[in-house]
Amino acid sequence: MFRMGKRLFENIISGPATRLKPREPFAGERGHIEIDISKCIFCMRCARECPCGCLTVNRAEGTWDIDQFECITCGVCASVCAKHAISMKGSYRKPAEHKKINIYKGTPPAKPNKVEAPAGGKA
Amino acid sequence: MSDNKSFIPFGPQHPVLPEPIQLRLVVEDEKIVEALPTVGYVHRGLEKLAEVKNINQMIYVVERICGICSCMQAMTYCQGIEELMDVEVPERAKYLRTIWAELHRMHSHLLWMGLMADAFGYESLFMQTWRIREKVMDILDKTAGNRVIISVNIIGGVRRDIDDEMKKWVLDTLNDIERDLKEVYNVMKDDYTIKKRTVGVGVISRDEAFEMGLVGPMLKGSGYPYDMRTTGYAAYGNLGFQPITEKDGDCYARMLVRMRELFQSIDLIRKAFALMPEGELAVPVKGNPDGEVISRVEQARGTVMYYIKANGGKQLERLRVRTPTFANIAALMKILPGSQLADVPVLVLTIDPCISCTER
Repeated sequence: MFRMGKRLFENIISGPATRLKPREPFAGERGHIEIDISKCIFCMRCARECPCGCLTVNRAEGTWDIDQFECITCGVCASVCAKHAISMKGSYRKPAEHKKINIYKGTPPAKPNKVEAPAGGKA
Repeated sequence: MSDNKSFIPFGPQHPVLPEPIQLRLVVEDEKIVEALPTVGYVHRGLEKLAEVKNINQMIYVVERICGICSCMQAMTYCQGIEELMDVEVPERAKYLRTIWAELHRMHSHLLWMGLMADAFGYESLFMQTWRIREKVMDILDKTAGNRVIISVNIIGGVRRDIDDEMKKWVLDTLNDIERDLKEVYNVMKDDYTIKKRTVGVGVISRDEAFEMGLVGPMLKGSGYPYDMRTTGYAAYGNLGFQPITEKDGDCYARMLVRMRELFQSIDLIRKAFALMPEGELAVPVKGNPDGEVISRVEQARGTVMYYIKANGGKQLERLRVRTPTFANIAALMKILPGSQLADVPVLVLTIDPCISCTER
């Protein structure tokens, strides 16, 4: 009886046992991917390393597309990005009624001029 | 089929079954005469993906073989590839892998305890165990960035670190978990009804368990101390690990093994934190693997085995996964015939089935 009373009292004065939703994400939580397109140099490394193929990068047109519904938020693209343009935000995305691909438009760096190979060099 | 026998399809959709397995039960009155487990409802063809994705991308695929022991799946795969490529993982990474693997074992066993309590009608106990599990999930969330699929393993080490401040928070939370677990442990160990439902039910002797090739708590519950952690992979060699065994071989013994493993996991995590050296998290790995290797790790449910065959290319030639439930399903054929129909939920859950891993 005493044990039960103690537990009863504990339950009345203590807060909820688990973190209630919607809850504040922990620091470093992998919620969703975001990109700062102005930093992107369209090297396409993120698209090559992505395990689920949700990224499409078009260097000629300067577009960076992500299908957030295919993304598994593993964070590989953010870790391989040389310019730190891709980052992971802690909060989860809101549910959506229609699936759509997020398209970001940026300006790809100008192609460097071709340097002609010196005469007599390796073919 | 004679007149007094009837056929009951149990599953694949059933309130007590968390995953799709069908048991074709032939019953005579309330007694089961014959049982035939059938799988094949959630095959996803993940092994075949190994021939399409490169070796680094495959880490995230193998993690999704199982939702409960995802960290251990990736660990097995990475250890296999590292062995093929002669990569020595930094000591700190080995300890971190051990810590996350033990946390996964804890939340797997707590999930199982909840389902088991639910199977014999203990709704409140089910919620209490899952409340404790939520704290383990919080630790995983804060340290690795996700609750279940933590994606920390890479070939050559780990991706994340646990700093001193977080280590202190983890150890404090583990103290809370241990305190709560002791209360639940006493209920599950001593409760009259639970004993009535589990003691002497589904007995497998030590020799039978070994002959059927059972693994994990199924084998340890029958008194056979077989555990891959004794081989000393990751940091287990330095932690003085001894497998936990029970003698009786019934549902109660297997339940005790799992519950005692929870306390053992807490001890192992504490020891790992105490011994964890400073240092790098991962070493850079270049090149492609060549050759074949077998990698084994002890999961919460038993031994998982990966056969990896590489040919020097970016993709693997063959990946074969043998999960613990595949071995343990054989036990159902042994323990179901002769038992009562009312005991079927407890008997099915005692092997801790994970059908998604089995079919991949």
